Amino acid sequence: MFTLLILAYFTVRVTVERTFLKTSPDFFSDNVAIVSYGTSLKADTIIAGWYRVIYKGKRAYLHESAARSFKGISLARLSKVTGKGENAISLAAKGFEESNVTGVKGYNLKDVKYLEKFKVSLDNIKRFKEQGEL
Amino acid sequence: MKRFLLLLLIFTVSCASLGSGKQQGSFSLVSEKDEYYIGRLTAAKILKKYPLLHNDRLTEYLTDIASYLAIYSKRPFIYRGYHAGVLNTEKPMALSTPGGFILISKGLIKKLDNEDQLAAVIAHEIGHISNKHGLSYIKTAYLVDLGATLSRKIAKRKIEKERSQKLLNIAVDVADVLLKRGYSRKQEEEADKEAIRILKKSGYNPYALIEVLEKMKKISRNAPIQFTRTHPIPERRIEILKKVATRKKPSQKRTFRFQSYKNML
Repeated sequence: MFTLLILAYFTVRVTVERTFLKTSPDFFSDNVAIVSYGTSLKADTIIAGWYRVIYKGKRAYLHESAARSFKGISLARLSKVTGKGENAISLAAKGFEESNVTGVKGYNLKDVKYLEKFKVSLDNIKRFKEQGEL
Repeated sequence: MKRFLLLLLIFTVSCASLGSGKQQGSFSLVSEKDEYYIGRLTAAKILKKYPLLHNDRLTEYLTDIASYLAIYSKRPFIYRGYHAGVLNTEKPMALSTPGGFILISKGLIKKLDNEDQLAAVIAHEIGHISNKHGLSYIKTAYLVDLGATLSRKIAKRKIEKERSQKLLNIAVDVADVLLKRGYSRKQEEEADKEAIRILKKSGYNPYALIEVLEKMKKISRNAPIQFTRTHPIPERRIEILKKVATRKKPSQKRTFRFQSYKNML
């Protein structure tokens, strides 16, 4: 029985820069923590598009669009299995340096940076939703 | 032997991408982070031709709509979230790049009547992003470049420069497709389908997408416009949508909110 419980777990790794762990599988539920790119967590199931994970001994939920699952792979083994391979197919993530493209003619990075300065918090979204009667 | 294995890899992935038509294939090899950087440069390329309107309140408004709608999409979380901005051109057009950049022209916003119609345009663009349509145009170049990088041992610095150059090339390709040819009819229909789903779940009026398409159809009859090139307006799309889109009265509060932002243009 004990062995079966261990096998039921799988590993998920965060694939976005930053994301929230939630108290329930709902975007508008409270945040448990913020986790960043590359964080690996133990999960036991998926509920309505959310991985149920263990974070610091507590149960939390991570949306499946923010992570990649490695079923059948333990946390300890994950770095050996991925690591190099993932970086090898990563064209931009490793090795991309903005200095190499800044100033190159034909690109307007100034306007891209303008867009990137706008960050939306969950509170903003909640307010926006309420004000718009959505 | 090494070269053979590389060719085998490229062949296998190419076959997979041609096969099912699902979201598989070469672009499943593109990580979220790669997608973001590719999209960022694609946006930079598009913005060179059509610069942004720098209006903080309007940009914030568009970003709020996009971030809210994204919650109900297939991909609420992408590498650095969704970004939306206004193109400072009177040409009615809307575009999106991989990695979450949504660009809508002031010309198009001026033609809209309410927030639900604006949300419909944004939901459609989110449909392209969540289905990774932009990435489907880089598969060949990506694989060839990837192969070249894997098969050579060059100094780290040189590799970084080469990768950046490859990214620039990819961005040129994708921007070219988006500006000149637009997405395929199948991709447009997929994005429409996703938009209707998002609008329904988020509380906006799903029928607003049909209203926008009908507006564009009317405009393009009088004069060919950019929007028709990037978003072909076949009656077929409207016909399909009429079967699935339900009508919902847009709230007055939302319409006032939209008007106050529209007045800034």
